[in-house]
Amino acid sequence: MSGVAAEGGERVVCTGCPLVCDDIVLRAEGTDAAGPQPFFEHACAVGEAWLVQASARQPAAAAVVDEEPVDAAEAILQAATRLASCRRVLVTGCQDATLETVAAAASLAEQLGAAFDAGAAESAISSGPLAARLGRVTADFEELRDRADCVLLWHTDPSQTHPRFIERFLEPAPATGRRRVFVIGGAVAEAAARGWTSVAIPQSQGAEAAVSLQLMLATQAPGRAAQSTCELPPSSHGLGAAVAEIAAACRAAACVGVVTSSGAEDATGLAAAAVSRLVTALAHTKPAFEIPLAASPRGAGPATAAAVCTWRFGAAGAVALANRDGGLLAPAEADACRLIDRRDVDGVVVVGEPPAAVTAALAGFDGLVVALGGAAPSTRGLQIWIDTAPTAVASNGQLLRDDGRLVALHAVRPTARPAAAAVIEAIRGHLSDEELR
Amino acid sequence: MSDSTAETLVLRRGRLHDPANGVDGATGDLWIRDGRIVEPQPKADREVDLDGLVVMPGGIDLHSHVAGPKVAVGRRMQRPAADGCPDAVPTIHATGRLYAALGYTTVFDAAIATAAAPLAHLELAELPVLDKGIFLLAADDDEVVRSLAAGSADEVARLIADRVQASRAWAVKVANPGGNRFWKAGRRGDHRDLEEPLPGLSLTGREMLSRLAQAVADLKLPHRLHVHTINLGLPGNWRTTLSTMQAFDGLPAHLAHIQFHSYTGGDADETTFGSGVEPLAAWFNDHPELSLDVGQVLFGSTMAMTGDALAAEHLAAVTGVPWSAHDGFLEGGCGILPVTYREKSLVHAWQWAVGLEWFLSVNDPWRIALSTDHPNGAHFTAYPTLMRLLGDEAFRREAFERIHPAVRRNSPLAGFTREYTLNELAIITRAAPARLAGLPQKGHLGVGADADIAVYRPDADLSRMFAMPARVYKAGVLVAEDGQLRCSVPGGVLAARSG
Repeated sequence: MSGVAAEGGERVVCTGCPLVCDDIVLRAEGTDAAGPQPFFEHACAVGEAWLVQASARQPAAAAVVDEEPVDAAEAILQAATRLASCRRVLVTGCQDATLETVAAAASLAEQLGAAFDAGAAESAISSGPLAARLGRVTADFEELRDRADCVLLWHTDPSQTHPRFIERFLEPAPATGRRRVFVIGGAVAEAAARGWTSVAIPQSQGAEAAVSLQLMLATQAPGRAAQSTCELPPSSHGLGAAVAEIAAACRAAACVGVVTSSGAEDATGLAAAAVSRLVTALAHTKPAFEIPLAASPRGAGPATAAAVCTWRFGAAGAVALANRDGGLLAPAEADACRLIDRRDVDGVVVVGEPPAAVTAALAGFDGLVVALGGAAPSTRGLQIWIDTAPTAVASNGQLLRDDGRLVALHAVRPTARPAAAAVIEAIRGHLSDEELR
Repeated sequence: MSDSTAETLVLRRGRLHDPANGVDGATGDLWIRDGRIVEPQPKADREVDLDGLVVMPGGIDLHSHVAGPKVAVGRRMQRPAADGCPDAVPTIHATGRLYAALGYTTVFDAAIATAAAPLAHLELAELPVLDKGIFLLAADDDEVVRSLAAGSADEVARLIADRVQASRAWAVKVANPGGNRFWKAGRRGDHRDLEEPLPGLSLTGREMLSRLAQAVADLKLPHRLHVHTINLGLPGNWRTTLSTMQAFDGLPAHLAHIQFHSYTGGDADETTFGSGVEPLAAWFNDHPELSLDVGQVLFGSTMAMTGDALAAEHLAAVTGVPWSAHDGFLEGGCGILPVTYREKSLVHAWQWAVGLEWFLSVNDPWRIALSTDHPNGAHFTAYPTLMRLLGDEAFRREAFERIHPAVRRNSPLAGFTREYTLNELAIITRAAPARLAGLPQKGHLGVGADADIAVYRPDADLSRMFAMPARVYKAGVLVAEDGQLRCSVPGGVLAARSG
């Protein structure tokens, strides 16, 4: 929890990536020509930059409307007025928002009869509903650290999206004393130096590799009827030897962890589903779990918003109509990018920094964009941007780490900048006014 | 239009069923002010005529799963419901709306891990109408388990008190004592008994149960230790359930969803699966310190969700259905999977019959709470159907005739002709849960009680009667009428203080 006193400093939660490191300590501020600078002990380079930016002085303008600086109250009124006249609105972003902010955003979406996409992994793939129904066997990050003596980094380099993941959860030895790590496809910096085994399986063969591995591992579980094993034909697209080595390691392991990432390369979700099925099958025989990492380029990721959306709307994202009695997960219809690209919406409320794909989609959008916090997205048309207090260092509240653990935030650097939740509630208040209805 | 708590409201001439105060259908008035039932006043601001209508305290669900991370997974895994049917795992708002429309005014989520408690409370804050509480899976907490192993009663009590307070919990729940340690150590699907030590510890399941029950009693928590015992769903598990009951040795304890723990049979032959209720009920009836809820199975599709990761994995392995699980750090885990109960399935038919056999075998309705372990056995909106099965022997017999023939031939249920009276139904759905939960201000219609009231149109078809109350009051405010939510008042959080 941030705000707790650490010796010689204040404990801070970094929301620069979905790892949500809560062991950062804000130490005595050094100085340079620009003035006092904070020092965040244990923070990675991404986190340091994120926290420094969050600690920076307030921007010159509290809000911008149509490229002109205005005060926040005027911008809030303009936002409410223009949203009220939209045909259909999308509420999105929430990649770096507290539970409280997301709850407010969800209420705004309901009030507007808006679509809501929090950017959860299954929201972006057409097979999202099926992927959700297939289920997943997962674990907290610390379970990987403490128990997994065989880890597969499945077409993912955690350092790209979760910079301290390797340091915090793979480098410490598990209870068995030794961990074997396979880097499947791609490249992870210093893999060889770490003694990790790189396995050249291209991403295009990821699904096949997962299925092959599952077949190889099909075996007799204690207390269960024997299942037939399957050996791949020698000429199975060259995967046989690579998969066989991994299978041998998995069989020998006490606990297997498979780290995955929701990447844009797997548009249908086939590879992700195959890996999930592999882990599930393995977990029927021994301790095994998947550690799915959000591919969020910045911010704490979609876990927080996904949680609120699920309890509020019944789906983690891509809900065509925000309705507290429930809504369908409809990635093909209500994914943020599709709604924007197809001009199914003429108004978009972006809370904090959106995912990169949404930012790209908004670049060509000529409808209303109301951006709360973060950097203002550029559009050709109307635009409203309202500055809000950064989530890191300046906000109170709670949010979820990528694995679902709740982390409490305390504003160690309170700011006069309004909280995003407060801005949203103010917009909602105007929307309730008789004149706007 | 809702009735304000500031005014004096009188509900006149209802047929009152208030078992806690010995009232069984007598006509009477209820005076309400400031959210409570009060003595008759000189005058009323509003009067409502309930002539001919049945009046009961608001329903109390002692064991349900409505919030928290595993419920969230259930929402994401479920298939869309058929038109007009509620989702197996509704949104938090729909959950409150549906419960309120059914006449329920209090609900407990029966399994929340300590790390998940803050998130569960955030979600429950959005549950409309109902008062709510959580049962904490404190026995999965690693530090608690180690203190149980060390055997220091004071330390166990201190740790549990700390966690209950920090989590704002109402009660302590243990789900498959030690099961998650076996799970993480690699155990899959097999039977075990209460004498087997937990991996890495000298602590047995029996010792866990007795020490936890003692700690809960010492702390004077309002609800006794809530127990989901080992071997859930496994053939032959009646023996370990009996061992569980015996482990408490006179200490109060509540046995959760006992139906899932009451089977005869062995692994090798499904046809030996059957009812183990008789010896269990005999012991239970003779030991007044024990209470239970049934966890009745009703036919249809639903989602199973449990803090018993071992049981969930085994069910998924046996049935081949999709499955989710999550292991918590220094805690236990959970499992979630879809389930469809079929009349013509031998196992499902036995489960259905075993649950009803329990209801009809327990002599004292004050020690039994109606539940389907929502959503595991069935959706809570099916409670009216269950009430009809209990109160209408002809209806029960018709349903019995549709199930698997082997169960019809062999189930003791065939010999039961007992019918629950309206008062007994009121006991197991309101008065008993209130008493068992330690809620003296709920579950009755006496002066001082919370004005949580459900009003029904009498009907020979009990399922129709209880499916759509004419009016539902929460703290004296009309919140539902004829199945529709009228007013979304926020409910309160029930959090225990240890004594």
